Amino acid sequence: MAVDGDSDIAVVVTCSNQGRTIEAALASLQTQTRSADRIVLVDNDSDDIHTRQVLARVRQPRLSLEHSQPRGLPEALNRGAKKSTSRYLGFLDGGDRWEPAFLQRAAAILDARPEIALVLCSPVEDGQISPARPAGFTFAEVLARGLGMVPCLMRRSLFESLGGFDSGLGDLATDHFWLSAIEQGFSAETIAQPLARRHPLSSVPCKRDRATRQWCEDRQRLLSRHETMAQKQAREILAVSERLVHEEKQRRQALGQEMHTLEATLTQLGAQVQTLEVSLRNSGVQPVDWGDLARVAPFSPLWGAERGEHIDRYYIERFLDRHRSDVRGRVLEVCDDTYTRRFGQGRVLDSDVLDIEQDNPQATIIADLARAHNIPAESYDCFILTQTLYMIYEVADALAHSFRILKPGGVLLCTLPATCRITFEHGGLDSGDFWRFTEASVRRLFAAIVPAQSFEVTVCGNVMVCAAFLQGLALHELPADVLDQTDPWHPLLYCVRAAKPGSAALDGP
Amino acid sequence: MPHPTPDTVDPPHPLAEVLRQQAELGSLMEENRALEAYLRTQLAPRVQLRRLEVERLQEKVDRAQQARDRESEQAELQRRLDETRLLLSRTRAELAQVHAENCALRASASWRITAPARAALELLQRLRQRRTG
Repeated sequence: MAVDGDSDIAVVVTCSNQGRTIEAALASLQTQTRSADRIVLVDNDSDDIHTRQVLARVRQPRLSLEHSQPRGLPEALNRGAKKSTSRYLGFLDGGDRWEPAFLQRAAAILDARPEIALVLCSPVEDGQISPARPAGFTFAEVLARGLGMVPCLMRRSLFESLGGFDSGLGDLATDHFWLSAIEQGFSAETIAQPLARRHPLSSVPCKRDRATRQWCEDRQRLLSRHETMAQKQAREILAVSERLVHEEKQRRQALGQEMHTLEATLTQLGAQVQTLEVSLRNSGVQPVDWGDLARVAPFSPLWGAERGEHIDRYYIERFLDRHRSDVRGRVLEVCDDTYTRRFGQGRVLDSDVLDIEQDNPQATIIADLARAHNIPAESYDCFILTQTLYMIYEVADALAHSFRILKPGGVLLCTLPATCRITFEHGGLDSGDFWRFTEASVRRLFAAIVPAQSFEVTVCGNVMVCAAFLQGLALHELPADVLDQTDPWHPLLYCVRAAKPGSAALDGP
Repeated sequence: MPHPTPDTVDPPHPLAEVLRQQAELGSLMEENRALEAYLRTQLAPRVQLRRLEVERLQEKVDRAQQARDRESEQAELQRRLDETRLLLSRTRAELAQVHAENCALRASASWRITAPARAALELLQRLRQRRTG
């Protein structure tokens, strides 16, 4: 057992479909002024592909990853706690972040005051308009309101005395744990300062939110589990409940007022916009300067080829450059071998060019990728498949064949458009261009074929890049600083590196 | 059976009342959570974007106003320049006319005949000035 003040803390981080916030949660542990010796990240039954991918790539000092599928939150917490023997145990939800001083403050309290078994802190939600008052740590308060999983640090002796979190209670297990601790006379200290933050997104995908009926059922279950104490404290619980109802009514009023204010502001701003627009038109000025973009036909119908470099190639080539070490051994590319030669220097032993068109003189294999049974399985170490899948109606079949023809450990380097004009070069409006993709559809497509941890998706572009690309502008016509600003809501394309499961196909070039 | 009067009704057990309160609390919390989410994720960002739009348009209006001010200032300067030019050309014409009259006068016979008398008069005036010091 560690005796100095700078050791012997383990933190259990739970993640339930919180792929968009878990990295921030883990990063907050790295900036603690008193660090944890051990971090156990427990995946609580995440079925979201993105979360599974994020969890697969998480690497941090002193961190280990556990899975509790499909047993739920209490099992995840217990599993994490049992992975260490530390004196102090911290629990962090994947949607929360600790301020750098949290562990130091909490551990200092436990170090200095042996009578305290548990230190808690209410998280402040980022950007919250009317936050509810943080819950106090009394039997009546926890029973009446429910704390859920709050940032905390406790003595292991407390965890073990209570036998951990009750697996049979699901998400209620945390409140049951707090109530049991109070019933058994363990003392707790609440840190008043907001040393923990909750990401606003975390309340959306997380299973924390409950419908009213579920809430009532949960409260009833808790009440029956702690009936003796509840009977004794019935008056206090009732008083707290009444106060909470009153507070929530006041909060409802405050939120309603805020909504009213915002709606009135919106109306007022709308009127201001109209007035300003009229004023501008009267001065002979248009409210939006379309300038050179005031045209219904694009500058170029050829992706800007006659003006300069294609904008999408900026992303595609940077992606291939990042993964140039994957371009090795036997390589397959569609249409021609430009990228194979450019990015596979010295590593490529043999290459093929795939095309559906028989008149392509560079093609060494003529096949429809969606029906490419004529290409032997496990033939290639790398398949460069850029901006092609959207032209194949049976896109899932094409992707399945793409992996089938890869050797185990082989890599598919694939790009897919989110925004681009209709391709008339391969069949016009009736055939040859079928799909545009979203981040979700890309992840679903790939996850249907390879494990989530085997592929990674990179989002590229923003609304200005998309507008320029649709207009057929060339790369040099965009300001350089615009290209690398990514807006996931307005993407130009997706880049996917996917490795076929299995041992590496090659020992070396 | 007589209806119970308020005095004869048993007060509800506190825990039963707690559960009733909990139903109300759960409903309120759910409602507040939904409202808060709507305000934060939809309404507030819309207001923020609209504010930026007003700022952008206001800047444009200001720029248009400045351009109009500059134009009218320029027009005023042009008008004054035109007036000055006109005045200058009139003055020049008058000067030319006076100059021509002057030349004609100096070239006349009477001017030449009276020249000795004007010279004598000029000499006399100079002597008087010297005497008076």
